[in-house]
Amino acid sequence: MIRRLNFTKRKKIPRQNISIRLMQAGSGQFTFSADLQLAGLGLPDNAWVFVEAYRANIFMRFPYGEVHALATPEVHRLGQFPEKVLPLFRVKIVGRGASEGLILAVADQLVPLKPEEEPGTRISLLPVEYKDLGQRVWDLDITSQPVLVLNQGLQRAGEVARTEPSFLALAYPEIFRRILYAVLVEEEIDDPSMDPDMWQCQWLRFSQLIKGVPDLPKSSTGSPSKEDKLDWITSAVEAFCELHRATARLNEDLAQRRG
Amino acid sequence: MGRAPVLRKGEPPQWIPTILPELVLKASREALERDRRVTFEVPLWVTPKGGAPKCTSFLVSLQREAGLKRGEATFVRDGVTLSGIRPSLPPELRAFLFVGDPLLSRFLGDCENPAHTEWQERSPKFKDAYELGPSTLRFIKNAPRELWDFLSRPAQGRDEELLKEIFSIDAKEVEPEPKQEPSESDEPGEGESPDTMEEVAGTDPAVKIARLMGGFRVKAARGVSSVPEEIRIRAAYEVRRGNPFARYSPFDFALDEKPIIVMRHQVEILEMKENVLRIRPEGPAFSVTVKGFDAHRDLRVQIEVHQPSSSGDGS
Repeated sequence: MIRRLNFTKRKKIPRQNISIRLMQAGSGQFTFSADLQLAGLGLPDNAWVFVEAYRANIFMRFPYGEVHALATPEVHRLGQFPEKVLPLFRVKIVGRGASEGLILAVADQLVPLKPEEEPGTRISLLPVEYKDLGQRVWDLDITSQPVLVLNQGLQRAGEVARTEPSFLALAYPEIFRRILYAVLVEEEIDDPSMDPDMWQCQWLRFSQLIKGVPDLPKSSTGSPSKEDKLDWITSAVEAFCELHRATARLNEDLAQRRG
Repeated sequence: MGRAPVLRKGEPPQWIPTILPELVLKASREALERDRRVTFEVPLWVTPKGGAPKCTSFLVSLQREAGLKRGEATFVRDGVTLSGIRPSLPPELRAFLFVGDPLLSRFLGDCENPAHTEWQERSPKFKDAYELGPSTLRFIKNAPRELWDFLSRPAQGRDEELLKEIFSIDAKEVEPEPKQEPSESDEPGEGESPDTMEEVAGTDPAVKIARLMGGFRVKAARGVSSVPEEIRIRAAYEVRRGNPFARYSPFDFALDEKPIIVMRHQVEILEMKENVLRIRPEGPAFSVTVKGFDAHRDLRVQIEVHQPSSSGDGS
């Protein structure tokens, strides 16, 4: 069992209470609007509300007034973000008075809605970035969370990754395996309930929901061994391939190409 | 509807990256992402042998259709659908190619087989009738695939949602269960239950961990009669990236040094060094309390419970 102890009693703002939407601002840049529902969360009325946009080392903070009197800032333009770079968002509630400066509540890694996009009910776990990878087709960056990097020189790279049976069969099992290895072996997280907002826990949860994946190696007799973890990862990858009929679809695709 | 620029007279028509202006590409990509149909008018030159080049055009419509396992294209000339032209197209692409201009319709009619199912560049009526005839025909037949390639060419930057159909979870999965938080005391006494939070350890609830101000307590779960043989506790301050246990430094804290305080009840301490504490519970009401951590930082605590039947070290 692993637990994260938050001594300052920082609360989590449910994601469904927040809606952030990007809007075109011309010349490839964006502005945004934020709809925040903070009532009923037990937050002090006079606490400050901030919305922050970030990506890598770029960061912008926008004051949104107080909990009981939200105020939309005049400037929403995400001017520090280069063209086509979409930021993630976080919302912070910051205390005043006796708890001056204390973060009372937070929601992080919020993916904004694009213009005209309807709010979804699913959370995407593997963002895609396009970069020059030389002759490599893909790479996996797990620096801060798993990101699939595709070679921008590959024609239809996004479509290949999304729909091609060959990519699904040959790349995703290995990508999935590497992510689970990072979670279970490198980061030593084997409990998806530790913090549902952490990407590691979300990937464990994703794995658990695949039909045929066994229970996670149990920790009741001590921390599971590396061998147990590797066995479980292999089972999860096999179940993933089974779910997507990886080999069968690859065979069908090859037959179609030959035919 | 987008319009490609007229290709150069007297040269074989080719699908080159600059054929579509960036603005047209951008608008078309956005429309396709919203599953809208995108239509292009493609101009080109047709030159009868011994005649002057004449400008003509055809239309290509593209639309994404979820669930289409193999791309499908329909070629229509003057109201006649040619069922035998089956270009290799990616999944989820539905394409239509319409030829209505009389000049181009005649050009294609000349290479059509008698069954009106295909356009054949070696057709006797066709191959000597036009300048650049075969390359022009290939340009037309390849139009759906080539246009799709241009539109699918990745934009720079990042796409959060592209693989949502493959790797995603329901948003409800990341919403924490509401927890009851009992009252808190900084110095809880034996037999009290003043913890701010209690959680059951994994699927075998042998122990519980309770959060205290600047510390934690590990104790037997209620109603569990068996006493674990050994419990290994490891602590580390949370880090922004990576494994906090791997990044632990003795400069963060050491469990056997101030300001950390360890209090025990029905517990023998087997080892206490740096960030690791190994204990042997000696009774069903055992507990060990560790305090003195920096309360401004989150703490990650790992607990390994070794039951009496366990013979391995479990590490």
